[in-house]
Amino acid sequence: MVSDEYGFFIDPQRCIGCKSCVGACAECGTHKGRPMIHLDEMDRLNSTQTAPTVCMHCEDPICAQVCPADAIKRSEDGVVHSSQKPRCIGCQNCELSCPFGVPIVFSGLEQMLKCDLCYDRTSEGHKPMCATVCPSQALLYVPKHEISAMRQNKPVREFTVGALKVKTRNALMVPDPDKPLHLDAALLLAEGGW
Amino acid sequence: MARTPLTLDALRTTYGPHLNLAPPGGWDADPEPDRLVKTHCCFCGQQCGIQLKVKGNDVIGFEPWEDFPFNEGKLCPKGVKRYLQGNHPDRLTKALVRTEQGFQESEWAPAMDRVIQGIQDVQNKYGKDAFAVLSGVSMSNEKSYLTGKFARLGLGTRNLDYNGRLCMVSAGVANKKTFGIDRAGNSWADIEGAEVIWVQGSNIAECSPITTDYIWRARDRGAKLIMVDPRITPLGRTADLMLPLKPGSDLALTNAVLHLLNKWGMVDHAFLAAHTTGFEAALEAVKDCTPEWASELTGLPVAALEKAARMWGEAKTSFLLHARGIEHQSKGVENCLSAQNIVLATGRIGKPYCGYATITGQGNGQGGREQGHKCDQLPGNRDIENPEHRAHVCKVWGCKDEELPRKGLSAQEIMNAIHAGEIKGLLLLCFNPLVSLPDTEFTRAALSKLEFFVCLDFFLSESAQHADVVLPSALHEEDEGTSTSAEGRVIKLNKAVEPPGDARPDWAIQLEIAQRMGQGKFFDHLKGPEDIFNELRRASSGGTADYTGITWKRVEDEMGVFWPCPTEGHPGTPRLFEGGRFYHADGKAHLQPTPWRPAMEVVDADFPVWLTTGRTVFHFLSGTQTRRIGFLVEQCPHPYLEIHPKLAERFGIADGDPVEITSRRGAMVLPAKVVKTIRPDTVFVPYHWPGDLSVNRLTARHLDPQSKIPEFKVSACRIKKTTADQLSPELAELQRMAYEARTNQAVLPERVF
Amino acid sequence: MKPPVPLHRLDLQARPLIRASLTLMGVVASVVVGSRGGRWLDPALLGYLLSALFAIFGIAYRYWSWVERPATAMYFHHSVARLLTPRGLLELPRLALLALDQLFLQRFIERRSIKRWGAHALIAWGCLLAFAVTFPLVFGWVRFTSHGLDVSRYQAWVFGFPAGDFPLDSPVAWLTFHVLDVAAVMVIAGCVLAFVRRRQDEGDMATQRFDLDIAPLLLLLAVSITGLMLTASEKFLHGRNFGTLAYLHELTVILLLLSLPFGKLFHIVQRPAQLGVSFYKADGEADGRLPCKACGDPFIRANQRRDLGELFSRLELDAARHSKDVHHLDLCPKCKRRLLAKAQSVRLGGGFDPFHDLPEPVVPIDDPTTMRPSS
Repeated sequence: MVSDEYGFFIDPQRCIGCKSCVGACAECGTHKGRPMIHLDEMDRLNSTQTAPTVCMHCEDPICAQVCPADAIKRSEDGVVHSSQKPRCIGCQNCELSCPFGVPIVFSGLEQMLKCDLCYDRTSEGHKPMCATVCPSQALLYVPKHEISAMRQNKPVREFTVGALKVKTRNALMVPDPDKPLHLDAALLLAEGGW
Repeated sequence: MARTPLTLDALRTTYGPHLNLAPPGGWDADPEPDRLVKTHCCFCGQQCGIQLKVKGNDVIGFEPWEDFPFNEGKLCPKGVKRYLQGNHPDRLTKALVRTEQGFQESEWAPAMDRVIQGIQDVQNKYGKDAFAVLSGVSMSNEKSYLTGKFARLGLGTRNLDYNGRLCMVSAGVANKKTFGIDRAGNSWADIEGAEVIWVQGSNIAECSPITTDYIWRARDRGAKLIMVDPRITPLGRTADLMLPLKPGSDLALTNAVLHLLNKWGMVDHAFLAAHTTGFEAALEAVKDCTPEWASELTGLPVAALEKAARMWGEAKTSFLLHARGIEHQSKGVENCLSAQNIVLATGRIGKPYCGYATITGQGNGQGGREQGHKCDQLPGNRDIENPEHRAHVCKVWGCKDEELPRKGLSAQEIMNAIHAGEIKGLLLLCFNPLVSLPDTEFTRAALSKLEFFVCLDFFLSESAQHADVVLPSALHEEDEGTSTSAEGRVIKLNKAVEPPGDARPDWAIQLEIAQRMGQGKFFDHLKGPEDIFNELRRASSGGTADYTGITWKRVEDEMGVFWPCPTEGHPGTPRLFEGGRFYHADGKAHLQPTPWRPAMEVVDADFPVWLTTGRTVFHFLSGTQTRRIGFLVEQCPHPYLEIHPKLAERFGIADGDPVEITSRRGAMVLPAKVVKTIRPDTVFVPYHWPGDLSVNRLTARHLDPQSKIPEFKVSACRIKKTTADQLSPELAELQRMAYEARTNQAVLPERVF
Repeated sequence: MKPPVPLHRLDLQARPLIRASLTLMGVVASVVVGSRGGRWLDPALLGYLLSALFAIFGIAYRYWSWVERPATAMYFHHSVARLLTPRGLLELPRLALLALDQLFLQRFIERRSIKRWGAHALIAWGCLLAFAVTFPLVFGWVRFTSHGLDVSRYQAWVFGFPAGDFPLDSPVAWLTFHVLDVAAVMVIAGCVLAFVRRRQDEGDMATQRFDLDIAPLLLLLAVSITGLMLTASEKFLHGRNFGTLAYLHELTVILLLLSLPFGKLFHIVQRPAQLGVSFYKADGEADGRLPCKACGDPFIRANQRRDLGELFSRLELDAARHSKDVHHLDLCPKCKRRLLAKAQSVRLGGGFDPFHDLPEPVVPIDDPTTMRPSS
């Protein structure tokens, strides 16, 4: 069981693009050389901004709903796991449906793997690999009650995609956490970039 | 004599760089270690704590060390993958001796005979000083100390210097001049409470990544960040004030800030009067440094300069950090002095959350510059020309004053003397000058003139390829000792595994050579690194860098001890200058005047574009280690030319196009990376690669007259679009290796996106 | 929380029930026919027969309910429809090749981990071998008698028809009567390997559950060991304890059969769906990929985009729409990730612009040759 007292707080603005998280993710005992975290350049022409993406661990994960093999399970502690190996048939429904672009289907393996909060570590009271090594602490894993003293921004765990609400276990850091974070594709299309 | 004995391709086939992709036994091997060894990262001056997972005699992975106070488990990608330098196919495990056919593996004894013969031949024929030693500061304090003693007493040469000369030595000189002591003023803990953080010439996010979190913690408490850099680096992107100045104009900026602080009455006169000298002279030097004047030189708007000065002047607490950006200049010392002047002018030093530091680059850049393997220095950061200092060290070493050589040549000067035929023999360790010194072709020509060249290394570095004998040395995790981090914290490096084959630690090799040279009486009592450290403590006693009270046990028990620490009961000194007490005899800080002068080379009609160089987060210095680690090469396989779209457009260059870059030293061709995050009049190339891909083919051997640091950060060049067939075949090979790293790792079997 | 299933949808539950019953009736019919009205059923195997029939009903019910899930139905209907077209029939050889690679050789598991593949292959082939022998015997589809009056030869019967005979001391005979021992050895070796591998996998150690992951292995071990002990008792101990062992073996087998519909081993009947997915992907690939509506890079196969759109509607997720033209499914995963960071930086006030409050541009030089501003 992963302790409910700890929260995962993501602050992409701090990311320095060093890929420590990617390297460390591959080192985690659950992942064995395959990184599950994403580190994307936002728009290198205009900016050095980069963004790390881990699984947000949705309360009612869409990846699980669209899985034909019924292979994606969320444990009682709110962690959404990689696809169950005996079941997954590599169809990519999850990869294409996740609101945050998290799961990865490794086609030769016919299997979806995703960030599982380093379950082997967090279930034993350690931090996930990425949040342990992250030099800028853009990825932060601490007791939930400590976050308000540590950061100016506050955690938001509710997101809207169009009119669809998505609630998550992991949080993004924003100044005004009362409003859900609205993911509007127009932001990507707006001229002027980042 | 010392040309490379084989073609580059043949050398690569045998000695690499090849890539290590996975832990011993592969990713499916049992990951359960026999033990965890607490030690530190071998890269960079921050010396992050890390635990190595050891199984048998193999390092099989790492586990974050969250209890170590500096980094609390955080690591950059080099730290994460550092364990892959062990169990490496390129690792040297036997001595190599040059023959007509190339390098031949040799048993230890005959190789050592050849080394002794080579040293004696050179010294008998040309004198003791014709044999030079060049070392580095990625070595432990123990090795640094022993190297100083070994060169002077073991070989009797005065020509000993180190690659710290390419690191923070300008800051070292400035520190001694102003403060009377050469160390960061504070531990990093003082960053967290500062109101304003001024970072000049430091790409913190990539070159000292862990410091990023210290800065963000301060910003969470309301701190403002001012970043000064020709490029908008990842941390600079988020700065409250970003000042992208022209390369080489840092002094104009800080001079103007001092000018404005004085004009606006933001100077702490009480502090200056009580604790400093020289303020009037410093002020006199900047009396004409108006923001309008500085705007012209820096390319920054007047309003930006004024805003910076106002933010700095109004703060109650502050921390100023700088690094190679301002130090790698022919006025590197003045740049640092001027930065120190704006710190002292506000009196914000030696108090909680008031600090100043250079961010040391190399692993033991701080400790290595104190223990006396620098041409002008003895242990304890003593002066080799000072009679009292010499007397103390002679006593500790048991030698007579005439046995102790005097000041020798600095690193670049040694290379110049080799090129001029004045120095004929070289012992090289922990240094890859063919990549890291400026003007690569000059360095190559110099190395080819050596009559005898012995190199100690764990991989066959590009410089080692020119050697007559290469002795296999030990990796960081195969030896123990201490190092001193950028903060001034002495920390303990622990041995995880035994060196493979005939490889052995540098100290053991030096002790053997010294003994064979008939100087055993000075060395025979040293049986291992702890003996060496205890002698170092005595040698440093009474010096500014006083380690007397620091024992290995204390270092481990207390997770590091900050020097100066004169007695075993002394708690160590995380924050220097408390109560305004500085380390000059008068107890005061000595401000120095810093009149403006331009870089040694400026842009003109023939070479109209500024060229600056630096690092990426995925590689360390000359890349001997990091260019052999799969993950790191996968992320950044080869150098590139960062160029602003305005400049690129002018030359018809699109992203990815091959560009020929030419300076007065030479030319190279690199693919363009078109980004708006650099000044439009400046291009940038990272420097970790050798040969055709070494940007140091273009940089100049212009030195700062005081620190002798080369001006890596400012050159003039011209650029032109060229064709793909002009790209070096090395580049294609590196791209192929990176692709192989990606596919072999089974990570990316055709990821769809 | 999902609302409880409304009454009018209960037919969705009834359908699998009916289908499972039909499946069961089909099997029972084949037993009746194969055993010639039960005449040739071995009374000693009655317990096995009943539990096998239960297992078949359970598996069928679970299979048909699984196929009812909207996401599964999407692929199931496509695959069935695809197979029944003339083109599908023409592609049977390709299907066979795929089946060889994915079901028989299980190469995808080898790529996941060679150790896992080794353990899995031993267990899988051990089990399937054993099933291939025991089910036909239990159902009375296959039986052996002595060849007429010749006690030195055996006669094999399949569905009541004679299917060859062979001497008692031939290798074929030995194999026929020791197939289960061979299977048991394979399964035991596979299970031991699986336990060793699990111990070396920190991820599996953390996520494994006794009921889902360990119990099936233990059951398989129990079945195989008791089965081997039967042979051992007969061959080496002159039948000592044979009766007790036979009961024990029957008990373990019945437990295994009863658990089949509920546990991990259900994946045996799920796995062939992978073949359908392969064809689905190939069809989509032939039609080309649609571009991401943010970055323009092609990423999603047209058939999957269409079917996922319908699936989202059925799952009541269709609100995930940015505009009339842009569904969240129209953004590639990378753009979705970038969108999250972008939305955050907008919340932070437009993100960071290092030049935002400087009164004039910091990069005034337009002409790098003269180093002068352009005008």
